[in-house]
Amino acid sequence: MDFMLDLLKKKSTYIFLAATIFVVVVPHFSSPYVLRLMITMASGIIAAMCLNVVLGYMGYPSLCQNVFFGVGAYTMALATLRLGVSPWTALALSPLVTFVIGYLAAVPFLKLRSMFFAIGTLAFTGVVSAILMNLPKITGANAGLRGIPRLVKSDINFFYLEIALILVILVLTVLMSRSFWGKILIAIREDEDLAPHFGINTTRYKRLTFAATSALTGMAGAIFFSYQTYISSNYFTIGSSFTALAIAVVGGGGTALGPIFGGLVVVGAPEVFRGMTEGMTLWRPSFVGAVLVLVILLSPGGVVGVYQKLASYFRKGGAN
Amino acid sequence: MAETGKTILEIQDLSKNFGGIRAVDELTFDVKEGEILGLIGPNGSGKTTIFNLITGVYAADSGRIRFQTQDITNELSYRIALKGISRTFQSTKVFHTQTVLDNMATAMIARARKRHISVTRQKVADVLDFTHLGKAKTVIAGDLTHAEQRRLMVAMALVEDPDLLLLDEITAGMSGEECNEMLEMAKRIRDRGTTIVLIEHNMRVAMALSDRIVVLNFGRKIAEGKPEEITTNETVLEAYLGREEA
Repeated sequence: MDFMLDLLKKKSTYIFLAATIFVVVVPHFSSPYVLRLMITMASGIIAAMCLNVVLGYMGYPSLCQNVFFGVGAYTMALATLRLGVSPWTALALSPLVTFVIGYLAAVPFLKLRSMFFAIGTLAFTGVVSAILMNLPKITGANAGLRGIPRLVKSDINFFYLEIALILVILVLTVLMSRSFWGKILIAIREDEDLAPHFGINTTRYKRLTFAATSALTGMAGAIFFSYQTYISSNYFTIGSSFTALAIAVVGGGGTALGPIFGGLVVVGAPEVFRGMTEGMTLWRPSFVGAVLVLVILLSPGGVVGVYQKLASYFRKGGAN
Repeated sequence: MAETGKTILEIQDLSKNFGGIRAVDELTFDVKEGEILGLIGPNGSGKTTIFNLITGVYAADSGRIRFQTQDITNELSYRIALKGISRTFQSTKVFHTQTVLDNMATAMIARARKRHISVTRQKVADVLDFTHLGKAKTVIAGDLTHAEQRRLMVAMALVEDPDLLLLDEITAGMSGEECNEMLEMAKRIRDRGTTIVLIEHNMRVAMALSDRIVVLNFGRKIAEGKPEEITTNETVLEAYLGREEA
């Protein structure tokens, strides 16, 4: 009973309850447009949560997150359409295939550091994008592949499926950050040259972390394109590789919840400006950009950083 | 310290070039179990390069490094650390955004897993007390003073009871009093029975601590012996003070 009473006293309990009600109830009352937005947002959040481990904990600014989203997606599309397996089998295959591709990419790219790693992974996105575009017989290229079978019938269930994956990743991230694995990633971020002198096999942990987060991103890709039933190489351009990074950075790197808030802002902000009159549509990206720049300028800790600042401000009774 | 005579580290004909510069030149020396060996020499004589070769930061061009019974030449750094060689660095290296305790945990995490040792709080507390950091457990390493950070670096190297400890200028950038404190700490490490190789710029420190000294110049060994023999060695004096031109 004491345990229950403690829970009732905690603010986080209520935040969790509110989030649960929002996630369970709101989709039932949402227009198809809003539901679609929420599903898109959730998949962006998943990609960013995975990137957040690589960027926030390990310190590697990866710009190829959408490659793994795409590998998972094409695994779903090709396994169901070409090999005729069930979408659930394809969903199980997608993290395996993405893990392998992620590991193979990790071997050369994780030898690079900081901005060289960013440029390397950006180039990787470019290469993969070009491959997708130039293999029309396999990938469908620009015209794409249609008729990917849906994992579940209703859009709402797709949303729940993504929420389930978000919860799994959230729990895994928290467990990881509290375990030796989290300590090792932070050591790599802080001083990668120092860590090996304490017996830490940095190469191994970097590669496994990169491959594992890629695998989960791949699952998100498989779910999203099964929901969409259509995939085309246009989704995987160099430009789109910045979305996950923007979500992770705006949300606040290195915090488990950051990407969730980042997703709301980065994917949500463009929609707020969608209502603008016809003549203004050209300016929409500029407004979105301005919102992102403001968040980053005002709080290097991202949205989570803003919350922490506000919370400490009010705790002090608004003084100082 | 009593020498058992058993060789723990054996360096044989070790060479390393950087471009046209021969940083270490056919160097040979031994380290005996339980002793403190001092590596001294003028700037650029190759002292730190030797540490970097022993700990796998650089690959040797030729020669052999044996630790206990194993050949560790050109082995990966993390494997060398797991075999029981710990080191500190000339420029202070700690995990700056982490607390002292987290730094200690990171320092022992991989080695403890490898050797199936449970990380005990008591052990960490002992080493922190030993390095006078007992009161700073929850302080962020970046907020420590320079001297404290350098002591933390030693604590992190010590916490897994290394068989061989490489100390690279532990007194670098310290005031006189801090220097003495560090010197006293190094003596206590020796009294625990840890074999130490230390690089020292400060001759007073090197002479006070070392059982034996190897003097380097231009990557070559120019003298080896007990501290009192070194201070009177002609070649050493020449290397440090220069030859008087006739």
